[in-house]
Amino acid sequence: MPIAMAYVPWQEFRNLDNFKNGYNAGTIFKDLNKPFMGGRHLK
Amino acid sequence: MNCMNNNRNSFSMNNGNQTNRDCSANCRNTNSNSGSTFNSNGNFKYLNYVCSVNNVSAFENMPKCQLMEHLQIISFAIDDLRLFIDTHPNCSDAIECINELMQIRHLILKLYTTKFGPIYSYFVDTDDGWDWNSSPLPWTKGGM
Repeated sequence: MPIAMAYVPWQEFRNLDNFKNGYNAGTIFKDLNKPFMGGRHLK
Repeated sequence: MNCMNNNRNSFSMNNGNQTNRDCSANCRNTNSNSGSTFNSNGNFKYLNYVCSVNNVSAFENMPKCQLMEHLQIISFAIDDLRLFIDTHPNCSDAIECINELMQIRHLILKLYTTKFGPIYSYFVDTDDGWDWNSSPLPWTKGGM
């Protein structure tokens, strides 16, 4: 198996969600809100 | 698992050999006159992220359950911001935001405690007697 290299961009203070959405999503940063859809996707 | 391993050294990014970038160049500058807690309207700049009100006085008319909900929401936002600032301790915009949120949270907590009784036993006001055990209990839905 070939070796891999990873790069994670530096997070910046931007794109704040409103805090009620953030409370439900688990993050107030829209940039980090990556829900696992398990193969499904939002229409 | 040995809990002794959970020492502060795992958070060494916050002290000692700082490798933190100065994020002021990277961060969006949302406020030209940073340093001021209030914007020109005399309101908190980040209040509209908490809820759709433009003045903290709106909390005074909220029912108990709504006030508690806002307390939980803003507490989570502070927790999440703290995680961000742990890795971005030089980000003045984020620090301004958490400062403001801590002030708003304090206002909400004070208001809730005054109107509906203490949440923390450390803040029991004994002026009018012992009220820690007089509020409805959580398993009776806290009277909400």
